[in-house]
Amino acid sequence: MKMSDALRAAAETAPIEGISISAGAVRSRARRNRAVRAGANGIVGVGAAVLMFAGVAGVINGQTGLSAADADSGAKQEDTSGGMATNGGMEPGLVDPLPADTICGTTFDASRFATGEVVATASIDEPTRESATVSVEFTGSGAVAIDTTTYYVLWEGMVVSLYDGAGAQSSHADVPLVNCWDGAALPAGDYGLVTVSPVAPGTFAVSDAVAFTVAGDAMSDPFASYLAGPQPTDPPAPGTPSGMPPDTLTGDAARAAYHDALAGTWDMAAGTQRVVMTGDGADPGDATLWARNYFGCGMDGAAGAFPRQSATLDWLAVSATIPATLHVSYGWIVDGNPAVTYAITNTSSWAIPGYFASSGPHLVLVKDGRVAAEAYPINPQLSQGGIAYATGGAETTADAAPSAGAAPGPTLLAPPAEDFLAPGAGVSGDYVWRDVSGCWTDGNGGQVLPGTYTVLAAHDIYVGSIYAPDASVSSASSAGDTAGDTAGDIAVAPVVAPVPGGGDYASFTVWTSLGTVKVQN
Amino acid sequence: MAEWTDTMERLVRDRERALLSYAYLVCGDPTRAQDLVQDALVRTFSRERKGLTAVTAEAYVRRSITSVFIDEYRRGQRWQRVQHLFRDGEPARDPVHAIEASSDVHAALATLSPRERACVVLRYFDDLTVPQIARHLDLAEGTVKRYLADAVGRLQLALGDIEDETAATRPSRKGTHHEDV
Repeated sequence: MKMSDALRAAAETAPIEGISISAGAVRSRARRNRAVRAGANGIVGVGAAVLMFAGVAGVINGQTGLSAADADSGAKQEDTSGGMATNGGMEPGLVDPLPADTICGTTFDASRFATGEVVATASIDEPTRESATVSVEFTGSGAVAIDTTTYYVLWEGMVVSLYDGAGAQSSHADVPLVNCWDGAALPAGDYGLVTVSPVAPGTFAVSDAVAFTVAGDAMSDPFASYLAGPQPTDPPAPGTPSGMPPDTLTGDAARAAYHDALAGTWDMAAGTQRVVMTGDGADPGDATLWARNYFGCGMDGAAGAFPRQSATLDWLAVSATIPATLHVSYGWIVDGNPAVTYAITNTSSWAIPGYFASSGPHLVLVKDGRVAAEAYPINPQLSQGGIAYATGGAETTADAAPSAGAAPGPTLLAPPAEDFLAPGAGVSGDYVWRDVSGCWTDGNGGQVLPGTYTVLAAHDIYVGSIYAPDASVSSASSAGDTAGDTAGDIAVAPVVAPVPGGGDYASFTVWTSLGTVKVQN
Repeated sequence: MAEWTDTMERLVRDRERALLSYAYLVCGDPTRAQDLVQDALVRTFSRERKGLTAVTAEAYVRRSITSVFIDEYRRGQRWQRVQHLFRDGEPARDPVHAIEASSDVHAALATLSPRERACVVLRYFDDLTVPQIARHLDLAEGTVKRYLADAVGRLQLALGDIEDETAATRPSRKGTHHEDV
């Protein structure tokens, strides 16, 4: 048998009937990414990139009426575009998207909007410095959903502000007079305002521009600073991250601390802890480091021993209340789900970056020095997949709010900046331990066998200083396009990735022994 | 409509099945294949690529399919996150029995780990050389060779002798000589 022929034949018989690709969803997501790329030119620093994404995504959402769940909404649009009701009350999520490349700083081109029978006429009251009350009248046949109207403020034909009419339930809207780059108030000057309202699939009612003036002394080129385009910037030198707290744990510092604190074998005694390096930008063998230092269920049915190299580092204090006994049946804990109170504190003098408190702890059960099972106690108050930040900072945020109608969840306090756990700050929460996933081996069929296991908690820490939204934005672009763009040898860069040559990144897993648990079947 | 959206929609319209089939070879799961193609399309069309046609775009998308697959595998280093990939390969617990029941390439592929599977598809379906695969998957060449050797060993158990297995020690089909290709 020729393998190449067999694979081609296998491709022919792949069971993909009924599976299809939504071009609408792809279009939506790609447009958003393009907007991010355009908006994030030159932005260095992962935090900045994330912020920029949120900002631009908001703009696009505003323009298109899309929900944040782009893929779903994209598919929905495609599926429903042919059957949109024209008798009023169109749902915002069901309208055809507006041209997504009409965004901040671009020339507004009304010809991009296909128009139909409905004609829109906008009028504007005397504006204040903060907002302008805009009225839109529609004439002609066809109904318009008022709350899907988008309001574009133009300066010399260029979009400088847009408002999605959120919450507007009538043909009047108070349009905030702020620019769409950073939300600053529009400077004094003469502007135009255009409204765009979806009418039917693919058609819009677009008003003529109505002029208005923001009083004051007009500047000659008030938006020049926003239109400078990508500015060549020197990449930060490795080890000098930008936009981070001065006491941020850097890759270099973490690497040095790790190598200074290397210790011998670990007996996994309760309360002890080890830190294992799982990624190292300074190591040429980094691509395989994580695999060499992997400690978890074996991928080929045989779990490996704890990594030979680990360090004793006072970075995180981890505490947890775990039960003495678990009754497990087919992976489920059947004698009631034990509560696990979990707390982590940054005991180092560093602000630990890349610390993303997951929605639940990651536990492994160890037998004879090898991982036999893994468990992820969950916080039932958090929405699925939510990420919670906790404790200690001056500001308080929680990315994953308790789901609607849920009982009040555990106290979740936020670190000062979302991506940093400041010295002394901590994360805590109450979790429910519901199941245990046994590692697959030839002998146990994935079951968790009775016995006494050592319970370890794992926490991943990523420290890295230099990121860019796209590798091509950074140094690679100065020498032309990336090698990955040449035909036949394609390497598509991730949206956010370490800058090639940045080097100062390292990742670690902090392993903490929480004691033992007796498993009964 | 922007040019890139035309290109993308034409590609989806004309080559949807081919891309899904390829993704299925890579991952072994139809639903996952759908996600892979979708994500690969997004990657490909999220940046401006001058002169991109539906034909050249397909090459980008195919490469992105394996990239996305391996990237996600890498990100999900924790077994909990990747075990479904391996559960597709449950026959690995008893590969011979599974293959005896159905001497089928799909079943044989299902006995491979994700990385092995990706290497096999790139080597034998896409005719890439070991250095090309290593570069594409960001693996050491030696690692790719090991994955290929292990994979071919398992596939031979299930499918019998693989004629082009020895091609791994011959010059590549693209005419580039690599001693250990």
